[in-house]
Amino acid sequence: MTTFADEILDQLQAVAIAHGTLRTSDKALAEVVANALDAPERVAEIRRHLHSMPLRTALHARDVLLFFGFDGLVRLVDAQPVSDKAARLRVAHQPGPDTCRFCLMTEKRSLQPELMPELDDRGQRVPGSFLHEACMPAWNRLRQQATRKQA
Amino acid sequence: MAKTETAAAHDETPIREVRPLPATSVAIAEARRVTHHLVLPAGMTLDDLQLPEIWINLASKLHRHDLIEVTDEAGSMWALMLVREVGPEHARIEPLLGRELAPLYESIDDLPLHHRVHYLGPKRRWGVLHDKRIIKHGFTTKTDAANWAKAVIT
Repeated sequence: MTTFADEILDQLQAVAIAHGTLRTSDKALAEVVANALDAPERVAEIRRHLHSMPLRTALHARDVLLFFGFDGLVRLVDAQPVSDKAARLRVAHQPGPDTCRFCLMTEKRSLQPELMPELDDRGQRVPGSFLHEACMPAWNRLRQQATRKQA
Repeated sequence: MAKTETAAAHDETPIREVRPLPATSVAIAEARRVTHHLVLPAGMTLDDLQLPEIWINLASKLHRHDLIEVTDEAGSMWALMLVREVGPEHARIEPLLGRELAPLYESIDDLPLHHRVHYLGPKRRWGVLHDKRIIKHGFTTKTDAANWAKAVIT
């Protein structure tokens, strides 16, 4: 990764932490990052980075999720670990069926649903619990954290 | 003469006949027994599973020599158990293997007193603060900062 790519990573991490969860177009996100880096002429380059797998992998290593939905919009999710108490609270309170259990982003119902049903350890659906596919590992981590401390 | 006596004594030793195994004695294990997967409910321990009456609702699904893999919801242990006996309202099982599994992710709790981990922006990233004073910054992740604080600060 080049230095510029590292700066993009830093800015995307900052945006994710500031917003918690963000859904926008890749162009808008690239413009935010470009303006923060004082490089408005490099929007197209940043936009290409957003679609590259190395950037997503590097972001994942920083506990930030970046993925695209079927609607073409980019989702940026802050997946930083939380305290055990916060983990227990989040597991205890279930949002509605149109909301991702982990990132709490509300998605429209469509023929190509953005959210997948959550499966428990027995492989059975958890009633009313839905997640982005990209959010599932982070959610499982959170659930295990909450359960482990309770045991 | 002596040689004849030895031979006679040898003949009196009972001979254990070892026959070849019959062809029907071997089968594919998966066709003979089932491996069940059990997620231990919260609050239960492996020792509880050895109480015969605890299997009353599952006895009809078990057969002798079935295997049971046991985990818990937190994924903190794994065990393998053998069904020794099954009755209409009970089952006796015996643990074969088992081990505790270390957590995959370290907790960010239990930081030293008056210390906390805070995000300081894209330049300084994650930092460790004592009250409001920054002790160290530049950590890529929150976990890195918390681990540093727990390891270095006493």
